[in-house]
Amino acid sequence: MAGLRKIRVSGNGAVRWPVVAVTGLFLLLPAEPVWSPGAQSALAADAPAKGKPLLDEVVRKARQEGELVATISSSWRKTLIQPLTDAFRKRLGLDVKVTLANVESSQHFVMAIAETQAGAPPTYDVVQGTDSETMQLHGAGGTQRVENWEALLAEINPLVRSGKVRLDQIGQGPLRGQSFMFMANVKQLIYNTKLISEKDLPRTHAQLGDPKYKGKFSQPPWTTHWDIGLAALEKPDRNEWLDVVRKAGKNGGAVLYESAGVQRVILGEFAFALAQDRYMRQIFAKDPKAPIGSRFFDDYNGLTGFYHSVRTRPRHPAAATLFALWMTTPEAQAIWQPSDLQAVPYGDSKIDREFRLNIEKSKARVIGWLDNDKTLELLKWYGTEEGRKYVEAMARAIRGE
Amino acid sequence: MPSVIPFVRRRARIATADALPLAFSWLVLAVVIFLLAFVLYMTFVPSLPTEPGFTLRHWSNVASSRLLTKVVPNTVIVGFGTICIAAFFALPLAWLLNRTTLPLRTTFTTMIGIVPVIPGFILAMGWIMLLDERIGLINNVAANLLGLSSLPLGVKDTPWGMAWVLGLVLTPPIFFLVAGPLCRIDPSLEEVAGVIGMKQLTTLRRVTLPLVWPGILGGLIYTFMTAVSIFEIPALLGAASGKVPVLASEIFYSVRPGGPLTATFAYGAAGVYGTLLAVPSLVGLYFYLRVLERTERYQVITGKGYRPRETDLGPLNWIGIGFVISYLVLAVALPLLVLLWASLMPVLQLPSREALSKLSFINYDSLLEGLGGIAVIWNTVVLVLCVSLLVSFFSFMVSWVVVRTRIRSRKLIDMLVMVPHAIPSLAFAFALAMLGILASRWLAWLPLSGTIGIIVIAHIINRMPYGTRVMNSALGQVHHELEEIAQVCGTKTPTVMRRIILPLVKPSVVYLAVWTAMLSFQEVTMALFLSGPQNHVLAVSIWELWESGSLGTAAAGAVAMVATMSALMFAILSVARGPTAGLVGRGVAEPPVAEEP
Amino acid sequence: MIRVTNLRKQFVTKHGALAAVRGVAFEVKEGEIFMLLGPSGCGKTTTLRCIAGLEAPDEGEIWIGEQLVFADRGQKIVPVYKRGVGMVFQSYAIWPHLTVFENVAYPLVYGIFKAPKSEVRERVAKTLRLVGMERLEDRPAPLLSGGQQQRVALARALVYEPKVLLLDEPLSNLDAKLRAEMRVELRALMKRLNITAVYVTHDQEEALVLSDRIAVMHGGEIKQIGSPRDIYVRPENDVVAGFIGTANLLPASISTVPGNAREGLVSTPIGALVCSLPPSAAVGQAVTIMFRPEDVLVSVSGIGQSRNTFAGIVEQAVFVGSRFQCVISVNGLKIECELPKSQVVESGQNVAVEIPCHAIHLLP
Repeated sequence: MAGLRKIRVSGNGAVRWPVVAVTGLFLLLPAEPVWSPGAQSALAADAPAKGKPLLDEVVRKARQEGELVATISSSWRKTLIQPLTDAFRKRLGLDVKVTLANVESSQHFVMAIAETQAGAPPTYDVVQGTDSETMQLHGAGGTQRVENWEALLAEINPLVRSGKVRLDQIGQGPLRGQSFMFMANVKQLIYNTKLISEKDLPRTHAQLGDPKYKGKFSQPPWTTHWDIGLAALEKPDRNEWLDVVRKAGKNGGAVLYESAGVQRVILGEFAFALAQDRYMRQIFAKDPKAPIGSRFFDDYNGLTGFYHSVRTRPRHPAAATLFALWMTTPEAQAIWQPSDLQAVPYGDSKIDREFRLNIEKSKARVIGWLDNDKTLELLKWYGTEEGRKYVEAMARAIRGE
Repeated sequence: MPSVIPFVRRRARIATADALPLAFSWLVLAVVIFLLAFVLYMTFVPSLPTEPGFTLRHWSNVASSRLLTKVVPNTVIVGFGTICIAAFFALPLAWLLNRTTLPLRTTFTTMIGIVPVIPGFILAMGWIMLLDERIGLINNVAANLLGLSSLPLGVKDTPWGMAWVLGLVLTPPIFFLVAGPLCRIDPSLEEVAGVIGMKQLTTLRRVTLPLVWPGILGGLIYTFMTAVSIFEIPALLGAASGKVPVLASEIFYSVRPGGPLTATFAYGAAGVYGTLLAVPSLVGLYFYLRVLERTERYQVITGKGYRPRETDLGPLNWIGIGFVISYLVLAVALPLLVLLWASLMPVLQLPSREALSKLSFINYDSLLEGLGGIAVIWNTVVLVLCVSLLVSFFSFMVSWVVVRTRIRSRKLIDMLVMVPHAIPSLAFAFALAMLGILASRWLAWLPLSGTIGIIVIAHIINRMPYGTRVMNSALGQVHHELEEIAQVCGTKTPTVMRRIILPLVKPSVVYLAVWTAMLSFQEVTMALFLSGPQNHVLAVSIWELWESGSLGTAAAGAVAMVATMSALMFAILSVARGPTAGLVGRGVAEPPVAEEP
Repeated sequence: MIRVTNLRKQFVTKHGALAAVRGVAFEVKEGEIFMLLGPSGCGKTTTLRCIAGLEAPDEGEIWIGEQLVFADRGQKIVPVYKRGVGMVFQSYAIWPHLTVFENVAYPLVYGIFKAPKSEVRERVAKTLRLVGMERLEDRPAPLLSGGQQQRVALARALVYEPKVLLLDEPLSNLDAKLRAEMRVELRALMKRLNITAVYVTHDQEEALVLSDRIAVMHGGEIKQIGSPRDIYVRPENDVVAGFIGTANLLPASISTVPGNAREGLVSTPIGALVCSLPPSAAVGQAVTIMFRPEDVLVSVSGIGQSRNTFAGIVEQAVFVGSRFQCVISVNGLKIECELPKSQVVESGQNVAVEIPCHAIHLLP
């Protein structure tokens, strides 16, 4: 509904685009074979020259499509929708209807996979979700590769064009050219400074099973804090790890969503909670004097990246491509970050710099699913029947079974 | 030829009077059956119904010793505990506020009506703030007064704590289910008892209670089923930690193991648990129907004038008022205070001098935009109006078939319409979402996926069980001769419904519509699951705020929501005259003094 | 006007099938008040509801006027609202959400008896006048007394001038005095309007006062149809005799059948009685003899020479205002009889009891 009220921007675009279209078409054909994933280092420099017409061509198509339907994180304020829409249309000179909807990715991706499997048209042209979710959608054939993504990204994102940000910081591993990272968070400990001192906090995940933390902490019901641990261990033994999870599960005070867990840490009901960094920033933004602190684990800290992906057979593929790429830009970031407070790992804002500095200073080991072959291998294994059962067992172990 | 007789009779009846309500009943039941079949089918599908395959995994996973030794006993305790507590409050309240001369009855009744608008997570949070063994305000105060280091009072990690909070939340459904019948009992029945010389208390026990027994029983069964299917309150009070697992929490977590597999939920498992919930519910329903069989005995609106007699409690008035107020304090005032407090705190803290200095209205800044603006409000209004109208309509039709006809399938219909209540709304929403996707592939013209319509359907099916309880109870009380004479007078069933029966049960219908509207307004699980680009509703916005850590803003939203709803309710009721009391039972405008010869 | 043939109806309950009506047949002439009389559970109300169309019979035919409204096994079934009958229920079924006027006007405003708007008020007023409720038009129904409700129910049934009026124990909820008044009034009204009525009651006095003809029902069957006087004076069987009025019933056997005279002799537990016998009577045949209490003659002057006179002792004598009701023991058997109030008797008194020959009826 929000899209209906959008103000029409950039009327002059209509005069220009037929010209651009013709030139663009000619340029597109010979250009295509040149772009191969191998040649990325040279790209950053080349991009400005070849990117412009490519981008203009996509913009032309997007105008023809006339509409865009995309998801944004369910945690983003609804007040962000209008500014994001306006900025996006203005930047690309698009006079199209834009609908952005808060969607909880974990719920929607199931539907997205079902849509793909049923051959139904996708509800959203472009969707955002975490790395592991996106990998699953990718595996089910639910995402569509963006042609010429390197050149287009360089044209749209000044950080890429200037070479400050490498392409593999935005598109990594199997998701290269498919999905584009735009924010991330790191799991850690958030604690009530009145109830526990920094030095008393557990150092490793295994220490969560220590009797001295009995009933003192809360962790979320999802396995995110634990599943990636197998890739961080020197010699991973699945059964042993499950025991560690179970001990911690039995030792914990509650299993609550991270947000609820942090709230109850502030209330003083629990000493600390396993949660992501964003909640810390959120609380400090509202109450700088809140009795709260955070600490990384020494063994590992899971990084969750958030990606935009263009869906397979979307109704508006060109507009979707533009949106997925534009969301990586500092321009977009400047709109959503001040209220959502999640970091952009490659970004240049205060939050981003502090985010990187924190990790550097504490020498914390941060690990994400797309980091290396080992993590990817593990993610793949979790998708098998055996892995699925293991995750289910882990989820039960978290609840102390 | 005795074997032909039933057939003949049935055909004859259908042909004449019941075709219309029967058609509407089967329309809604067809959707229910189709969805149920789909939910059941999904219990045998490994992951998504769009992927081929067959598995018994969901069923075998459920069978564990833990289920029998922990989950089921806990669920039973929570279920029965809840109905005990709810009945403890609801039955005296219903009598006090409908059949006595207590002052301020209408205001009290309206306030009870507000309870369902308060989001469950706020209530649970409130009780933790009050009774937690470490931070609970009541516990701390009491411990200080009594000089104890700790108090055993607590709502966390015990099924009784869950039952307590759930009982407070679920008092209104029983209250309202009983209020209607209580108001409409033929006073002569009670007067007869008075003449015989029974004391008032005995009259209550021997005459009044048995007369509203179907209403009470229906309410209790409904409450039991609701109590065992609510997730958020037990989850916040310890079910999620696995300390006091109940079926609802098991469903939730078996469905969402989280982690790297978030996108391949085992929704089939929800169907399995749904079946487990459905079985005891249907057993309860069977007994309910047995009582209903004798419904003739309970037809208390007859053509001989009726007017509720109101007992003057005299000096006992104060005890009555005390009872009402203590319930309202526990179920309305405390959670609302917590809600208000949470909305005024930048970051939720326990009340203290330091916390008081932080009070601010920051959470109310640009609240409307934060909740999604006019579009979301509009969606919400459309949803709430459609659901409340359609639920009232279809409930009336189904209950008509069940209560007022002798069609042989009427018991089956009554059972079927009740089943959705046992199926977790998550499973229903998932099934509906899947069907929406399939429909968008094969029946592209059907506006399902991502529209407000799909949420409307989900809510209707979800609310039909309660709707039909209310209507069964209301229609069961209209003496069959009132309907028959209208037919003899030359009018067909639709006219009889519209001109005679509907006006007679109007209080129940209005109440049902308002109540449905409020629950539909507050419902999150399904609305969230079925949300698309264009159909966000208010409750979803608030839930998203809460879930993403903005408790303060969520609370501010909830405060606005509760305030709006209360204002609306008071407005509707004062316009609809005979304030709330008129809503819940006083069908006939109360005449000042009856001129009895 | 109404013809019912071989009407059968059974209800299926969890205890099995229950035959409520078993082959009922009767005919009601135009303008006649026809009474279905019987104890509760005899099938009279079911029969009435079948005529109204509120129950679908299993078998039989029902005609209202020239129209066949129900034929065997549902081959033809006219729905209730098309049958054009008027009905008054025991509970009156006054719609409590409407006023008196609205209640009565309902049939004229909706449905097949719809009348032009201009006529409604006039016709309602006329009908209310008929039942003596003209001043209470605007009163809400719940504020009416029982008698008033009964009148409104009647007005509502009459306002659309139905061919047939069906009444289901319309007076049973009234107090005794009002009931007695209403009986007479109701009969006068129905006769004035020349309405054909089927009236269900369990009250024999009501039946006797109100009806032109009575059908006594028992166990789902009609036991006898006849005028009130026939039913009372010449009951055809012990069920009818026992149900209508008070009757002394004695088992007897025929001992003498005279050649050509109609009077014969029967032996009973109280002694031999002379009475008239039907031509078919045979010696040794077991019969029941019946005589009414008011026909018994009691004298204190000792046994005379008159026939059928026995010695008895007054066991009980109750003064009920207009007469004495006595129980007199004759040969150890209790005989009920009524004495004029002028004839004072006391219990324990020896009396002579005469059962006049003409008062004795033989029942098969």
